Amino acid sequence: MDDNRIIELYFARSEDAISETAKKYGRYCGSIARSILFSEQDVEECVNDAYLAAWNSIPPARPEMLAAYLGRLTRNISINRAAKERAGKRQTNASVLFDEVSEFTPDQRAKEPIDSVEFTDLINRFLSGLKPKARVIFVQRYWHMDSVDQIAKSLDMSISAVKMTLMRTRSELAKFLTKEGYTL
Amino acid sequence: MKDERKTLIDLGGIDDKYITEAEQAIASKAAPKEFSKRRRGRTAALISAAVVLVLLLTAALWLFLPLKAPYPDVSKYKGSDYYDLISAINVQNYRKDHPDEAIFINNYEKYLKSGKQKVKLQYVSTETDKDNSGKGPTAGLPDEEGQTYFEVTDNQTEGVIEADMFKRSGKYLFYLSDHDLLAYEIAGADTKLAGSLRVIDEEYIDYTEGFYLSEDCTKVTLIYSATQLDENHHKIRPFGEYTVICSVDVSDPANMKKTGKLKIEGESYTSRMVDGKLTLILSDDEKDWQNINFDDPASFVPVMDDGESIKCLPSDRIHAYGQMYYIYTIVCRIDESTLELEDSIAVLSETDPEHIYMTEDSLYLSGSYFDESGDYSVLKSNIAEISLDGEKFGFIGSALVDGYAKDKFCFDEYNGVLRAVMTVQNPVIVEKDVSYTLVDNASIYCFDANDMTLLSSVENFAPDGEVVRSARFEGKTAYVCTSTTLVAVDPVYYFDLSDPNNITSIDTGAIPGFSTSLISLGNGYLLGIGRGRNLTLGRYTPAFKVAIYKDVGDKVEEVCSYELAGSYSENYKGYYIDRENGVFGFAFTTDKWFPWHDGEDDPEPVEVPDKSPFEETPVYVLLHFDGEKFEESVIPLSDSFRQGGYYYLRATVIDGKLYVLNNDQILVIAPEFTKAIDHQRLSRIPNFG
Repeated sequence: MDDNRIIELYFARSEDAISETAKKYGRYCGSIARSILFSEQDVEECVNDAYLAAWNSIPPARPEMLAAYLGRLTRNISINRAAKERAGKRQTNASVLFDEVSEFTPDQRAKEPIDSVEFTDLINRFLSGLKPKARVIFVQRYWHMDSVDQIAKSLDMSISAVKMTLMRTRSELAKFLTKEGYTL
Repeated sequence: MKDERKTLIDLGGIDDKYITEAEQAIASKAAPKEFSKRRRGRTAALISAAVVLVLLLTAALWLFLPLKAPYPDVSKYKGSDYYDLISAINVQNYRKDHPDEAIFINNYEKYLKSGKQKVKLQYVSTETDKDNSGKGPTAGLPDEEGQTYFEVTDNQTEGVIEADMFKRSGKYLFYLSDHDLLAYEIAGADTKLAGSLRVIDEEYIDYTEGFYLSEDCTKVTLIYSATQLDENHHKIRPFGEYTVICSVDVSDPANMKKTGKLKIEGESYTSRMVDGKLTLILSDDEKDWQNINFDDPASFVPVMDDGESIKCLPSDRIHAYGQMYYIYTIVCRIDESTLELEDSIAVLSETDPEHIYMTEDSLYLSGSYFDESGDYSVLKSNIAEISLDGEKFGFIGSALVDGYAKDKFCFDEYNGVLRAVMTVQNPVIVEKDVSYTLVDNASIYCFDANDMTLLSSVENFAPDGEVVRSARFEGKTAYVCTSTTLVAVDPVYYFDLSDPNNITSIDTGAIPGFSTSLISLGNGYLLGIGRGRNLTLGRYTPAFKVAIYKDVGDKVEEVCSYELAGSYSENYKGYYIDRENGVFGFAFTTDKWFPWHDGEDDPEPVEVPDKSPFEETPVYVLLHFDGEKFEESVIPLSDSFRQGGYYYLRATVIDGKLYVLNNDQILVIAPEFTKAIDHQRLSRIPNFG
C-alpha cells in the first residue's frame, strides 16, 4: 500500500492504519530501534510505542514522507529508552553513539537554553555543506544509528574509512557549532 | 553538563531529503555518484586491470616512440667509413641552422620535460695564459764541445720538452727572430752571430710555436702556422690554414739548411717533445660546416699532406664528443728525425683546447664554452684525455666541469689522478624570473685518469667574487692563489691531495698582492710572480711583485718579497728561473712611481712625489734569494731593446754572465753588474743597450 493510502487510513481512524504501517515499515522501525537498544524486548516495545505515537499524531500531522516520520518517531523513543538504560548502567548499542555525539553536544550550562529547532536548523545547514558521501555516512550513523560495520558494508567502504569520515565530520560540526556561538 | 540524548533527539530533525538520500544509498547498496569506489567482482577487476595496462602501454608508446627527425636524410652514406661522423655532423648542422627550434626525441621530451628559461647573460671572458711553472734549466753532461744540450725552457713536466724561441747548446745560443733562425756563439763580451737562416717562407704567418733542439744539438725542429689565400684573398680549402713542421740541420751553424717539411691542415696550438717523438696539437676550424659535401670526406674530415699526397684522417681516428661540433683538435705523433707522421687522432667538439697539459703518457685538452642547456648560461669546460702510450694512442674519455681554467698549470696528473683547478661561476638571482648575475669562485676537482670519472671535488672554496690567479701542484699538495680584480689580496690555499677521495684544505690567510705564476723551488718553497696590492682600476700603476712563500706545514707564509711599480710580461717563458742557485730574472718597464696603500674600490689618492727615480725605463731585474731575502740587480736596457715588447725576450746566465735576447738583439751583462744593487743607483748605471 502506498504511503498516501496509509495516511488516509490514519485520517479515517481505521485500525488498518497500524497494521498497514507495521506491514510496510515494521522491519524498518525495528532496525532503527535495534541499532540503539540492546534488548530485543526493548526493541519491540519501542516500535510499538512508535506506532502509537503515529496514531496519536496523524492527524493533524500529514507527513510528506511516512518512512522518515515513522523512523524519526522510532528513533526518538529508542533514544530515550537508551538514555534511561545508560543512566542505569545497562548496556545499549547507543553507548558508543552517545560518546561520539558528545563531541558536538552543546554544554547545558550555557547562559541560554539550547533551542532544539535552532539547533536542528544549524545541523541541516551544516549537512548541506557536506559532500554527499560524508553526509550519507553521518545520517546513517546519527539518524539511522547504524553501526560502523553496517555503514561500511552498505557503502562498499572499509571500516577504517567510515570511522575516519565520521571523525572528521564530527570535528567540522564542532567547529561549525562553536562558530555559531555554542559552547561545547 | 551535556545531554547527548537531546542531541540525538534533535538530530531526528534532519531534513527528510537527507534521510531519503541515505535510505536510497542503503537500499541500493551503492554509493552516490560522488563515490569513487564500487564493489567489483573478480572478473570486473581483471577487465579493469587489463584496460589500465593497455592504456599505460599506449601512453608509453606515444611518449617514448621516436619522433620523425626534422634533419636531412643521410642514409645513402651508410656504406661510407665516415657514416657515424656524417650522421653526427648532419644533426649538428641542423641544430646550428635552427638554434631556436626545439628538437625533441620523443613526446615525453616535447610535452613533459620542463622548458628552458632564458635569462640575460653576464659574460665573463676567459684568460688564456701560457705562463707556466715547471722544471728549471739543468746542466747537461759534459760532451763534445758544442754538442751538449742545455735545457733553458722551464717545462711544466719533467721529461716533456716544450718548444720555445730560444734553445742552447754548450757553444751556441739558438734564437728564432721573426722568420729567421739565429745562432750566436757563446763568448761573453765577444759573443757574435755565427749564422742565420730564413726558415719561414710563407707570407701570412698566423702563429709561431717555436722550435726544439735535438739532444745531440744537430737538428732544429721548427713549428709554425700559416694561411694560404687565393687571388681574391680568401682562404683556400683544404689547407687554407695549415701547420708546418720544418727540420733544420744546425750541426754547422754557419751553414744551416732545411732538411724536411711536413704540412698539416689546421693551426698549431702547441706541441711537446718526448724522447725524439713530437706530439703536435692543432686546431682545425676551417671546415665549412654549412657547405659540407658528404660525398667528399675532405670537406668534413681533417686532411694531411705528407709531400706525396693529400690524405684524409681515417674514420677510426676521429672521435666526436660534447654537445655541438665546431672544431677539430688534431693530435699528431711525428718522428723528430724523419718527420714521419706516425699516427694521428682527431676529436670533434664545440671548442678548441684553450689549455693543454701533457705528461709522458697522457694529453689533456681543456676547452670552455657557454652552456645554455639549463636555466642559466654559464661557462663550463670539457676536459678530454688522450693516451699517448704507444699502441694505446687514442681517446680515453672526457669530463664536463663547471668553470674554466686559467692556464695549463691548473692541471696536474699524479698517481693516476688528474687534478684540476677551475674558476667557477655561480648564478645569483637579481630579479626573480627576469635576470641573474654570475659570481666567481674557485673549485678543485680530482679525476681518475683511467677513464676521467670524477673522484672528488672541493667547490667554491674561495670568497665570492674571487678568481683563480695561479695554481701549482707539488706531488700530493696543491697551492692556489685567488683574488678579485679590484682588491689584490693573495690568499694561498693549501690543499692536501694525498687521498683524492678526501681533499682537505687550509686557507693560509691574506697576503697583499696575487701571483699570476706560482713556481715550485723545492723544499716547500714557492716563487710567486704577479702583482702587488695596488691594482685598482688603473688609477695607480700596477706594482710588479715577486715573493717567496714557504710551506710551514699547516699554512703558507711569505718569506720575502720584491715590488716595483711598472709593467711586465706574463709570458712565463720570458722569465729566467734558476732553482738550483735561487736566481730569477724578469724584463720590466718601470712607470711613474706612486706610493701605494691598501687597495679599496675607490681609494683615496696619496701625495705624489715631484720626481720619480725613473720613468718608463726598460730594465732587466735579477733577483737572488739567499734563503732569507732577495738581493736585486736592476740592469737598464735600451729603448730599442724593448721594441716589440718582452713577449719574445729570453735570458740565461752562463758562467756568471747574463745573456738577454730579444728580436734580433743580444745583450751580455758582465758579472759585476749582476750583483745586488738598489734602484736608487739606477741613474748612475751605464746603459749597455
